[in-house]
Amino acid sequence: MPLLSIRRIALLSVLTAVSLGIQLAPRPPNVEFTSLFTFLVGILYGGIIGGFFGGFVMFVNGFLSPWGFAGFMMPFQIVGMAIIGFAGGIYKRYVVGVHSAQVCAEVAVLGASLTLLFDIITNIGVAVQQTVLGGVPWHISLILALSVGAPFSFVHIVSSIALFGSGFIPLIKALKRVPGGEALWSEKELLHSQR
Amino acid sequence: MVGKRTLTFATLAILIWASSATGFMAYYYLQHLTYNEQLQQKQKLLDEFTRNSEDSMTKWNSLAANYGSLHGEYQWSQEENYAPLMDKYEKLMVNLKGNYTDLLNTSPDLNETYNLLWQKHQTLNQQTVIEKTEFAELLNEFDKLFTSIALKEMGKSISEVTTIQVSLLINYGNTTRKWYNVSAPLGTTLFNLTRTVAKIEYSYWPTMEPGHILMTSINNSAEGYWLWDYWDEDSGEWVFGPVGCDAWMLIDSGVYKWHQSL
Repeated sequence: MPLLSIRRIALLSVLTAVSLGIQLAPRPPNVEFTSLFTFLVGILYGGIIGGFFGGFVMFVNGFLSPWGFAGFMMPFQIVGMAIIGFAGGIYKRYVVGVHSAQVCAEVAVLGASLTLLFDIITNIGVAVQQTVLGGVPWHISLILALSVGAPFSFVHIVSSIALFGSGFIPLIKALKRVPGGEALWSEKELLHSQR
Repeated sequence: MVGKRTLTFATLAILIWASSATGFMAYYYLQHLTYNEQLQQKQKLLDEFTRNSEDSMTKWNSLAANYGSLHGEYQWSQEENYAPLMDKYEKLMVNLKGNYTDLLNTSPDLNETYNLLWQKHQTLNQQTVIEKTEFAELLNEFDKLFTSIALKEMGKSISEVTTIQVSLLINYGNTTRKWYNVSAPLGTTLFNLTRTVAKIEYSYWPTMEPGHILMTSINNSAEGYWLWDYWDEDSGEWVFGPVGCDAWMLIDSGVYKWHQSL
């Protein structure tokens, strides 16, 4: 068990670094991999760890993002991404024994809906910011934030459908092997020596 | 029979589609409202500009007709004395002031030119005999003033619908340099811009053309005269201002500099 825990921490650290690296790298606006990694962590280690993972990545991203300090938006981003990790933990219970093609389709739909939820939460953050700092009436700022954010949200959803639909199965297979550690490599070596 | 699981995900997919479509519709509607409002504002400005231009043209035509008539009389006159034409000249000057009162009140440079011309006319009017050359000079100066005023008023009409961005540097020499990045109405002269950003004092030189203003003090700094340069994009260097600052029209993204000659 201690060995597994260390590997788990190591894998989570690597995934955190990868997520942050991609998050902070120059890329088209609203095309991101963090939600996919967060969902994967939720599947692998459960909703709580998935939620913490997503929240932590967004917390660090809030300070270092090339778009500038997230400020008022940060809590909303953290909550939005934590929900994605938590959803991964819930989906884990229902994915056993399902055909991989069906999983691809389901995960694509889930990815899209979670992205939409994330965008709605962050747009609410924008509306709250405008109301608190700009004095704009709440209902106007909410309608404005949701409607102005619609094209960006569309890009985000489409990219998530593509990423979740095509990236989930290969990534989950690869990540499942990592905690196998020595046992996996011993097995491989044994197979190799038998040839 | 469709399974419960499939139905759940299909419903989720429809919800995503519906939300995205609603968001897009709201976005489109909002953009439509914004563009419509902008279009109406532009149309209003355009209507105003057309109205102002028509007024300017009417004034121009009326004064140009009077001036043309007087100029004709002067040209074809066989008399030695042009004093009988001075009444018509005075009427022309009064009409000029009447038609462009607002502009003259807000443009000290043009107002100064008008007052000097009026004084010159009054001085000549006291003479019993006015020679052809004297009257020709009066007519010539009126023509120049009239053209400047009409041009300025046209610029004022345009400026109400268009603004430009300019940068002005005031170099006080003692390592104190101050930049002003401001927007100004199209047709603004360097003199007018400087007047709006700094406290100035100036002298008026009737014989200097084009432009009669020499800046003597900017923000209470009055060591020698103030000279101006403009930044030439093509050569990439400062070029000495070739005319008086009141005759130099600013251009969009233009960069200008005041510095002192010691």
